[in-house]
Amino acid sequence: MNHDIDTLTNRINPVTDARAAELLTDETAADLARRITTATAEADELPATPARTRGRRRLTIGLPLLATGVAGAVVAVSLVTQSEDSGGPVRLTPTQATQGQIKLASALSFTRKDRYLDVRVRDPYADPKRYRAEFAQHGLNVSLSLVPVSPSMVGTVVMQDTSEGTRPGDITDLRVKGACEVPSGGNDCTVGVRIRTGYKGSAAIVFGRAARRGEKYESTAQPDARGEAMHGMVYRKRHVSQVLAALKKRDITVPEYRVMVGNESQVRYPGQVPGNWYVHSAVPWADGQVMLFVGPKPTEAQRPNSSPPGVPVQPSSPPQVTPSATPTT
Amino acid sequence: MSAIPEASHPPDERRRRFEQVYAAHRGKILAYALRRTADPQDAADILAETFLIAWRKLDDVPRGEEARLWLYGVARRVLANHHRGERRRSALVGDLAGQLRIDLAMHRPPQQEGELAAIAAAFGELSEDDRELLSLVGWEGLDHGEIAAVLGCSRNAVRIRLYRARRRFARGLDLHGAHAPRNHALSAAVINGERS
Repeated sequence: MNHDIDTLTNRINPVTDARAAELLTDETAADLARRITTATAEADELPATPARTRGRRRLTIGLPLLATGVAGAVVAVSLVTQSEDSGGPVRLTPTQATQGQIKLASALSFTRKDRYLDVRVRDPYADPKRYRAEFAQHGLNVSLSLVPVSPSMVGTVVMQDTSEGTRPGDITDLRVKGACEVPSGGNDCTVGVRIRTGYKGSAAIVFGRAARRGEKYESTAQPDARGEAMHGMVYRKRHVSQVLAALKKRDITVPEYRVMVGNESQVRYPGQVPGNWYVHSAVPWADGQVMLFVGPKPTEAQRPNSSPPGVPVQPSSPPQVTPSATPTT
Repeated sequence: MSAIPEASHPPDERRRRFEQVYAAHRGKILAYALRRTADPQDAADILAETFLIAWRKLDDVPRGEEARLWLYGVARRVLANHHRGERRRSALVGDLAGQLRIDLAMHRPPQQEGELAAIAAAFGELSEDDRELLSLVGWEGLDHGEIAAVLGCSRNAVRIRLYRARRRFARGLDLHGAHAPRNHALSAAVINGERS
């Protein structure tokens, strides 16, 4: 039976390996390889370094810290700056970060204390290479980057990874209470990092920063969380047309939809979704944009299996793709 | 901060190793993704993201044939998140697959007919896990040990689950009136939209 069954499965194979290889021309393949190996220099120093240096991996990218309070590193805004043309609420940073304009003073400020070096982010939009260079000038091997996140995640530590041998107090978040207000509540802000004098290890740190118009979020919170685009809105089980109308009042657009077809989530674009369909769920997408999960029924019912596909085998690891995801984590 | 920073200059050896892995497995990983997505452009993203992760975690990529299993495992997770529409990926992933997205835009897998449609329907009604197991055997051609490596479970677990999946598939085939394979060509059937 096995043989027959496997043969049957094989017969409905949509694409053979050979066909796929044809679809991927050498030229396109080379282009992709080039982009991968060059384009990732920045964000990538993070996961690339820790391959050897498995130290403290504290936070998983994408954890909505403010929402969950995970990992004790819940930090609030600090790195909030008003992006040039976003309509979001203005939150001044305690660091006089620029209005999205790059002032070529310094991207970081360093204050040497007795046992620590305090490093504050002055310009959250600076090229990460500048941060790196400035850290290097102080003899530190730290790569810092700031990624666009949805409003309530701004100012949170998205990821921090340090080399082997790093002790808990070697690198800590530099928080200032009352320094600023966070869209999702609270006023305890991360303004940078504090590094123990004499620290010789390496670290990679990713902070969430406000997204500029058109930039897609790399990490998101619930769409109706405080500070998010759909805060206070009721949208589940509502007609798409209703929700779109409500969003329009807030100047929020929907660039893409997701529809479950059978077991599969497919992309739909504006105009391809009937107004009398229902909204099941939503995700912050970019400044002024959300993505909606929709379907013909009020809820996404009768899914053959409720467990999401591909959930990692280990129950402890959250099913998220992080830039450092591996099949073995 | 620009989404795509300029090139740094990683050591040549690192790059060479990546290119080896990439050249050896890119077609298979694209095939894996194409078989499991309705939109070929999603497959482009999945290929890009999978190899982006491979590049970043190059030291973790096993040598030899094992690399392919490692990559399937990564692709499987990327895909799972993709289906959930999560946007936790790096923004630059969206730009990576640029040309490939364009190339694949015209790709339309052929529609299945007749008995293949019944087989596909029965297949589509299986659970996600069952389909993945059967696919890893029937499409990727993996054996128990290899599947265990991809899924991160024991070989024995694979054997048991696979046994059950085959049984359920057989039952479904009966319901759909599809029987043992006859003389159909091994044509590529689409069951997009009924599976993921």
